[in-house]
Parts: sequence; C-alpha cells; structure tokens
Amino acid sequence: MHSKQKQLVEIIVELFGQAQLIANQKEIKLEIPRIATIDAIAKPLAKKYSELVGPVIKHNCIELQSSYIANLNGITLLSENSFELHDGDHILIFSSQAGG
Amino acid sequence: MMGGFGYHNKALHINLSNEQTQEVHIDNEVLDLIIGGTGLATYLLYKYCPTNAEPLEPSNPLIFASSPLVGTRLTTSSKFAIATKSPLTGFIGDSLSSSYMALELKKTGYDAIIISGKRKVPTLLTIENSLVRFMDAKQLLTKTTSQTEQQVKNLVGKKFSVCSIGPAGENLVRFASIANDGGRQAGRTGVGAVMGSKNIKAIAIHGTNKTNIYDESSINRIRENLHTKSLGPATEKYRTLGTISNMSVFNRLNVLPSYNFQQTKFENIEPITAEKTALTHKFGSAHCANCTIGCEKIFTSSSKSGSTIKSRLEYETAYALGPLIGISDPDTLIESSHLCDQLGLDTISTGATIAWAMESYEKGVLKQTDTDGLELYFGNEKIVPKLITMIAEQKGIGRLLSQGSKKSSEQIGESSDAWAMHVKGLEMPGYDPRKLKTMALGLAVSTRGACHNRSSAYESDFSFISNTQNDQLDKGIITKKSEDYSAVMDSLIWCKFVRKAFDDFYEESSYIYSSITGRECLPKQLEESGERINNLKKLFNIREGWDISDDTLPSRIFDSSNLNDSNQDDNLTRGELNTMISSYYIARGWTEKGTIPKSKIQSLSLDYILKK
Repeated sequence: MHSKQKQLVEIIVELFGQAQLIANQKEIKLEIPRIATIDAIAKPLAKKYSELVGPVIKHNCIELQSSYIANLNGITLLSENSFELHDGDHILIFSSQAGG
Repeated sequence: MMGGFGYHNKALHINLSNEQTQEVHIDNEVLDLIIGGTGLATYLLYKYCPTNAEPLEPSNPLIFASSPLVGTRLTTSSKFAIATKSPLTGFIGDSLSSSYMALELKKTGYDAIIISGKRKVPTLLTIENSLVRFMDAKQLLTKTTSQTEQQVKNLVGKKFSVCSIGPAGENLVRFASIANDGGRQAGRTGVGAVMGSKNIKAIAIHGTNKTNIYDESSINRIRENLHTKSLGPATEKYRTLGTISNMSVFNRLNVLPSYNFQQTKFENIEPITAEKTALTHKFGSAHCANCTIGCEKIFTSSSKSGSTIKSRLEYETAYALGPLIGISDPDTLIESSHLCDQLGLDTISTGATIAWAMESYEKGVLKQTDTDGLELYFGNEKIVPKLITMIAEQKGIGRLLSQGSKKSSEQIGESSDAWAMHVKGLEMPGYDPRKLKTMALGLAVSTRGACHNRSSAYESDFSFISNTQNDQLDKGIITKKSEDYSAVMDSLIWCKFVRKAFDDFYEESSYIYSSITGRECLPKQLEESGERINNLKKLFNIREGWDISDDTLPSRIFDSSNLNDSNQDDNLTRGELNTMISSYYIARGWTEKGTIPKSKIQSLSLDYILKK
C-alpha cells in the first residue's frame, strides 16, 4: 500500500521570450495540485503577474494564448488533458511558433 | 500581348553569351498545375538545364520566378523564387527572397526570367519591361552587396530594384548568396556562385506592367482580414523578438546544435539569447514590402574598433555563427552576420563549414600551417570575422572552406567526412534531429539537402501531433504532407510566418487563387500541386544522379555517447530513420528505392507538362 501522496506540489515555471520580458522573471515557483490541468498554472500566474494576461494568458485567466504552449521538464508537451506533477517539476512556457 | 489574370503567361529567356532574348509562352494549363514561385522555377529548371550540366558552367540556368500573389498587396506576398542546379549539392538549388524586387520582377510583364550562358566581362544586367541591357560592371567588382546596390541605383535610377552578389559570389564560393533590397538574401544552395559564374555582378529590374486581378473586391476583403489576423497571436513571436527567440527555447529543449553537433546544448547561451540581447543591444524591426509582420530584427553593435554595426539576426544565423562554433559574444555574432550579408554568404553554410574546420583543427587534421596561423578552436571569437572574409575572398584556408563542408572534407580526407554536417552537400540548420524526429526525416529526404524550410517538419515535433501520432510510420505521412504544404506556400508565394493566420490554408488559398485568376481552383487541386512540385524536384534530382544513399543524415546524429544531455533515452537511431524513410516513400507512392514510378508521373500530369 502506497503512503498517501501530497495533494499539492511545488513546481517551477520557466518563461521564455516575450513572456519572460513582460513578467521580468525567468523562473517562478508555484504550488499547485498534483493532478493538474493548464488552468492550475495559468490562474496563479495571472494573479501574480497580471501583465501576462492578454499577451500570454487569455483574459479568462485559465488558458494560455494560442501562440503559447506549455512543456513539462523539456520533454512532454502538455495538452488540455490533466497531467500528474511532482515536486521540482519544471513547466516551460514558450511561443508555439517554431521556425526561423 | 497582355496576359490573363494573375499571370503574364510568358517568361523571358536571356542568353548572356550572345545577348539574345526570347519570350517563352507559358499557358494557364501549366501554371494551374505548378502555380508559380518555386513550382514555376523548378519546371523551368527541368526544361532549361541540360542533363548533367556542371553547376558553374554557362549552360546551368539561373531562374527568377514570380508568383500569382505578387502585386495583390496581400500581406507577406512580395516574394520571388530562384532556382538553379546547386554548386553545393549537384541537385536542385532553390531559394526564396522578398520585397520590392518581387514587385519589380512581376511588373516587367514576365512570370519568370531565365538566364543562361556567360558574359565575357563583369556585367550589370538591367531589365526594364522587355528591354534588356548589358552594362560594364568592372567598377563594381569587390564591392559589398550594399555598396553594389547603392552604386547600381545611382547609375540606373532608384526606380530599379537591385539584386547583387558580393565578393563571395564573384569568387565562386559554393555557398554564396544573392542579396536584394537592402540586405535580404536568397541564401541557400549557392545561387550567388552561379550568378558569379555567369559574370553577372548585379541585376537591376524595373517594370510598369500591371497584373490583372479577376475579382478585386474579394482580394481587397481578404487583404483586410489577413492584415488583422497577421497582427494577432498567430505571429506574436515574429513581431516581438523575432526568430532569434528560438535560441533559449531550443537550448532548454536540448535541440540546439552546438560545437558542430557534438552537443545539443550550449552552456554559454545566455548572452546571445533574444531575451538578453534585447536588453543589451539596441534593436528595431524591419518589414519586407507589403508585409504587416516585420519579423526582421536589426541589432546594433559597437565593434571593438569603435564603429557601429547594424545587422539582422535570425535564429539560423545566430545558431550557425554562435553555438555551432562555440561563440557566445553577441558583438562577434552581429559582426559575423553583418559580414556574411555584405560579402554575400549563406550564414548557415558559413557557420557549419567553419565548425567543420574547427573540429578538424582540434582533432589535428588541420594544423596551424594549414590555417595561415589561425587558431581554429571552438569559441575563438577573434578569428571568426577574419575567417569569414578569407572564405569570401578565397584566400589561404578560405580557399578550402569556400567549397563547403562536404567537398572540404573530401579534399582533406583523414575521415573528416565523419564530422562534415550536411545532407547532400547542404549544411544543416539549427534543429538537432536526434530528438526532433519528424525534422530528421524532413532533413534526410529534402530535395535541396539539409533544409528546414522545404518541409517545416519541425512543426509537428513542436506541436501536439508528435505526442498523439508518435509512430514512425506516421512521420512519413506527416513529412510528405508538410513538404507539399510548403511547396504550395513557396509557389503562391506566402511567407511561412503568416501560415498560422489561416484557419484552413488550402480552402482559403484556393479561394484566393480563384479570385486572382478567375479560374476554379479546389483545395484538393492546390494540395495536389504541392505534391506535383515535390515530385518534379525529385525527378530533377534523379535525372542528375540521385540515389537512395543520398537520403540520409550524417552518422554523428546516431551517436549520442558524448552528449551532455542527460535525457538520451529516445534519441534517433539509424534504424528508426530508415523506417521513417521507407514510410515516407510509401506515403509518396514511390518505389522502395525512392524512385518515382511511371504511373505516379502520369497521375500528376508531370509527363504532360514536361512535354509542353
């Protein structure tokens, strides 16, 4: 029998590009539910850095703008589905527009 | 005779050797099948390039092609295509450029200009509508691209748009570019060397012919709609920090090739990220003609000599002249980029060839006696600007490197081909294929060599597609579709940076095509044109000696043993690539050897148009 898992985990959000310049932060620590969806990241980010609302986070404060995507630990792209997080995980937020 | 709608229905063939010009009729039936831009240029290349022509010999044509969108003032549509047989690869060489040159080319009243033969003396070619003149250009020799453009405009008038080569093109550097309109470059595959081989230093073009649009009111409405969309989230990255913002992201994702692909992460990335240089270096945006996005970011640097240098910094340039050669000094990067543009060099091939030389030096294959005393170790920022100049001028070690990494390694031997990072002779762009597996396939099978733009296959690696369709067999279909999509974009021609502004690309683009030409065009037809154009490129390559061994990646890509990336579990293997290549051939309806069956050629009407 597994021991009871924590319901909240501490993660680090890494901002890139214009998002980083707008918030003037490269990394932001957040405490969010272990089983989460994007809104669990967008909401506290919007609350802490309201200047991200509009350019990076939609005005509903629960979704990223379509020009941004979130990636878990530099490996897994996060979709609208829920995902499991662990303490120390990194969520990368960057422009979805590749190319150059 | 005036052409129909959207096209002029003719090309101008200029024979430089005998100064003869000839108008060539192109009927709508052909144009509907190959569209324009890259499609039209490929079609003309197939017809006008003799089989097995030497790329730097007079018989290899240099083709400039316009497209149906030029002149509509739709955002990002002021583009033109160049095609020739590449001196770097021996296969199709095609490159795009943009801005006022595209508008003037279309206004000449021709859909394409075919230049064959060779001048005996350095020449400025002027084309004003149908009037072609050959002017002495001796006074322009050794001038940079911007000096040449300025002097030509002073000579023939500012109403002309000018494309030119720098010293690199004059000296037949195999990765020389053609510059136009203040520094825009048709950069890849050595088109500038072909122009240089013909003794053409510059081409000045001006026209007064209008192109008729069948349904002006529809185009006006679409223009306004696209204008609005092009200023929204669909282009946010390009409008704000530009493509150089890839640097920090790619580095974080371990897909930024560094030290000649020996690493996928660059430890000294910080000073050359967009986020940092935006704070440390003044920068502004620039636009091509009729573009609402303004992706070009022009950075200002104070050089060590005290002069101020302004240069565009794109991601590919920053990657190739930065991490790939171990450089993290932003001023060196800006100076190197500026030098390449002024001397007329493709920045990717320049950086990648220098990276090959640096590794050769560190391995002892090239010695200081070979390098004119230059210490070619990675990160030696002092020697990079000098080395770039030596390449352009074919001096010292520059003579060897001016051939590109493939031919340089063949000349030097000592197994140095093991670290010559190219596909088919074209140096690799900044997308490490070890993790970007759809991109890996796109790079391996691309007809022009290691190219990120002719398939844009990275798109699926950075999107959700790669998560949901992770099967290697699917990647063949994804790559085929993205190549066809890119061929349509490059033939209409749209800038790739506007692609996300479309809700349904084929639906909207076919409607636009019909509104311009007055001829019905269904989305499916446009998609099939993309397939046709890619098959035509491949047919050209097969004719010029392609075989299945050309569709591969450098062996280093399959060796992850020395990478500093801790996550190597899922890196590309040779077996995976071979499976993906097979799936791509199946998706294309080709044989297992990658050749095109007769039935495919017929079903795409390629046999028909090549007889016309």
